[in-house]
Amino acid sequence: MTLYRVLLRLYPRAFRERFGAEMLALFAQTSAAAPRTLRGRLDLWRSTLADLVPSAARERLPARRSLSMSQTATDFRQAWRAIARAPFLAALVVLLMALSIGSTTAVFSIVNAVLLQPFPFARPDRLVIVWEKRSPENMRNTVAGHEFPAWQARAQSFERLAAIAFDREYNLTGAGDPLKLTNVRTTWEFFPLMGVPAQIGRGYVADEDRPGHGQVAVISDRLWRARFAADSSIVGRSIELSGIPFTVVGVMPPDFRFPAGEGGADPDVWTPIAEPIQNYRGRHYLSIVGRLKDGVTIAQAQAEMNAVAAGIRKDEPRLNNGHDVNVQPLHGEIVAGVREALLVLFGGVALVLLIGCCNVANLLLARASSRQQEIAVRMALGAGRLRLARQLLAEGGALALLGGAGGVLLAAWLIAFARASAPGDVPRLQSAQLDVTVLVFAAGVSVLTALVFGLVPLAQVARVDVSDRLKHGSKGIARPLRQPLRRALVIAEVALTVAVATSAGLLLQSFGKLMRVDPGFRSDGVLAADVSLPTRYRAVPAQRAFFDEAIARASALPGVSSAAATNMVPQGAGRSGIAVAIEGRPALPPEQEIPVSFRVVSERYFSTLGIPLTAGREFTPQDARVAVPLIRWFPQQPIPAGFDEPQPAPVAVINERMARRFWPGESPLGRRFTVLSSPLITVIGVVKDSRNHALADEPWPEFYLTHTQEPQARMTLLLRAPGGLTSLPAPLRSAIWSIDRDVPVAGVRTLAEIVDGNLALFRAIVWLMGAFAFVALALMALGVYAVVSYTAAQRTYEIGVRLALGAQRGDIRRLVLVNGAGLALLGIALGLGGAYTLARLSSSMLYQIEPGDPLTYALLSALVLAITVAATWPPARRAQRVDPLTVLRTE
Amino acid sequence: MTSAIVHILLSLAETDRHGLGIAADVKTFTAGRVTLGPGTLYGTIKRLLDDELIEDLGAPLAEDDDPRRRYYRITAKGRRALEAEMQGLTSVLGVARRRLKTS
Repeated sequence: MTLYRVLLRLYPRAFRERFGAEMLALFAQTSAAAPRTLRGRLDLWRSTLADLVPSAARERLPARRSLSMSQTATDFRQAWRAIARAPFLAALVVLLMALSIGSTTAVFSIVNAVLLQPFPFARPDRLVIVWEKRSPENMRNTVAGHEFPAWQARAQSFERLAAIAFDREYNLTGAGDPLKLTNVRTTWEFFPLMGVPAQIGRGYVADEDRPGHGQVAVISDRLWRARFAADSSIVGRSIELSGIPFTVVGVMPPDFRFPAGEGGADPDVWTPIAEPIQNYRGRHYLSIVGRLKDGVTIAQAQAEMNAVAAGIRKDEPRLNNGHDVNVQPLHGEIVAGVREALLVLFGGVALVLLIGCCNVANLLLARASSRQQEIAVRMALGAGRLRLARQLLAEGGALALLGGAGGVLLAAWLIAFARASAPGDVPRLQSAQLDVTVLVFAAGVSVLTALVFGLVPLAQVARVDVSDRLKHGSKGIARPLRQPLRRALVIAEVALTVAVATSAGLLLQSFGKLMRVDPGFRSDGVLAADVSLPTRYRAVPAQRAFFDEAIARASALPGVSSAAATNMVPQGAGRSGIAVAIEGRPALPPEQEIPVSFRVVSERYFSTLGIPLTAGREFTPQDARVAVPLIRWFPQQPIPAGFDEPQPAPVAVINERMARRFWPGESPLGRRFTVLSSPLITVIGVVKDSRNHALADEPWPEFYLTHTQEPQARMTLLLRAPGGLTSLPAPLRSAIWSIDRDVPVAGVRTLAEIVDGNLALFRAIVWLMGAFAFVALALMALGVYAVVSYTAAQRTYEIGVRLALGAQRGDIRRLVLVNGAGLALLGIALGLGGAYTLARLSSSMLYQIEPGDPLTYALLSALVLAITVAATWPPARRAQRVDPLTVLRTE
Repeated sequence: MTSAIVHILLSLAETDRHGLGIAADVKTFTAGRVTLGPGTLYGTIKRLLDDELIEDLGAPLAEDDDPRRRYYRITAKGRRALEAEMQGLTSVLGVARRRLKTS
């Protein structure tokens, strides 16, 4: 009653005042007469709305005296009536359209935000990353100190080149709890090159990038809000980074988050490199971004850089032997990891949209067949074709309008859901918004489907003599246009479903296989915490002393069975690749170098992570050296104090892969190698391989050094606590802060969370593709059911005759089943090709399974066939129960 | 002339009625096949008033009637329009009977 009173507001005020009370009274009467069941209530509201909406529209339409307007109103009123007569079918059409429009738009909006949208940089298509290239496998090396100035001097293709270094870590000190910052050092060209002005203040300038002048900083919007209360007087003030004062010169806008630091973290602080870069000869520590001059293509820049690289090779034969250059668009480099994933998702969603459209078309065709009689009657009574077309279009339009509205709501909800639940390392996901272009596109596709197929009854009637149609009524005679079309739609649906389902199947199997991979270390029951030391621990022995003490205190915490530390947590971000030179063997040319990764670990690292030792021994406290560090990264680095004193030899533990690779068939124990400018390092032990980079990646050859020989300013503490980890973080922080209150403890999480976090994107894709496959299968089943039921119903007369002539009931059932299975087989055959194409697209995401895995294809084809047969079963049963007497009598 | 107009005019051709009365009468003489919803009923009444096919009698006739109710009467113009429509329908019906060879 109240609802109806509200709905009355749809009428113009004057009308409402004049008739409102009486209308309410009439509604009350009708409502009282309607049965108090759910069905009764639904019927009541259906008829009420069918009455209310068109009449309100009519009262509202201002120029209803004009012929065309009153016709439009009539069109919509009749459309509404037609819809209300078959509400289930209409609801199904609307639901299908909403699903297709909504999911396509949502996924595309996300793809668009992450992949296609230009970055918030000035003319981002002109930006490139310039890498050093060693070999086809080793395409992306950082650039050495002597190379960058040479590039700047020689290359003409670029407006500017800027260098970025990630080599210095700062903690924000002197402002609350110490905070570990993601710091990026750049040359001054960086800000003018990116072309993004600071929101407050400015970027640093050339003068501030000179050696000895670099005490200025640009901070991120996030840091500014989090630690400085978004106070604009921050510009010009001094902040303390790891105890060193820096003057803040600018605050970047919130969407400027480049370049991402370790693990894709948004940068907090940009500081000038401000050092004599050209003196750091052979030290590969710079990433180079460039802005191409107008009119210069990437290929031209690449060609020029090849020449530049050749020139430097000639000048520096010793340092640059085999070094080439690799110019890549910045955009592609940033989104590299998620590109395939999003393309696969988009492929999946596009197929689902098509399946949805096939179904909408099919339902409308089914509806059309029941409308033929009505339309024929109207034409007989003198309705013009144009008039009928208008009405059918109005019906299609009304359905499309409702479906579109549902689609928009669904899309908005899905995007909000994705933003809230996705893993944090998908770049720019948070800027995803409902994309109007796609919405228009998806809505356009499905609205067009609705309109075109809505007009089918008219086309059919046009081909058939009206009086003939009237005479024959519902009798099953030849339907020249509709049948092949409907069958083709179902075949297309089956084919598309096979493609989506196999793709999902392959991904699911990949995920299953990945989950069963043994990482080589035991991640359960281990807590990780990043500890990075402030700059006053610059003295290398002080770093070692701090971590020795930290590990000792962490081991003593209640519940902790063992504690260790490493400079790179397993399966954390990043990977170190380095070339080793084996004692007594000639150095390999650069293109044949075998990349070896390495980690610095503490004593008990292997036992804490459950990595078994297979030969030799682990590190012991007796390995501690006086002269630290071990590795000099470039020849100019001074030799550490005490190098000539008697002390333990440099030692390393290697993994089995490294042992096999460098010392096949012999014991590696006691063998020696060097890294960069290091003394000879002796192999003292061999451990099992562990997948330290990613679960899906085969481990590289790897060696481990001890931090007592190669101290680190930043390590991750690892605590094994069999009794549970939840109560550990607070005491761990206190333990660290009891040594030094200024040391930040960041990223406290379990090792299992780290491993699992790397799988989050893959898991999300598998889930989404699985959901797409499920929806596709459901839509397909619906489509097959509808067509086969309809065909069977059309053949009732024929079936009756057959039965009367002595056909067995089993034959009849077979007839209908074969009809369905035939469609399915044809669709599957067509679908396998599409499936393979989609699988190839996702091949980089597949793990230990071929894109053409025959078992998957066979199984999913069988599943699709089984579902079609199941969908054919009910109509087959109905056909089987046809009573020939009844059929023949009524016809 | 829409079917709602025809039904309302037919109902008023017998006697003066109020809105609810028209709805009830139409339902009765069509054996429940036609139900006029409030929107259609009063929308059509408004249009018929505008075209002077019916007139508004205003206040209730009897004491026990709800004062909110208004009675309507078919006008001479309305009666003529109804009769013209019926003649047209009758001829269509004849054509339909011959051509469809049914009934």
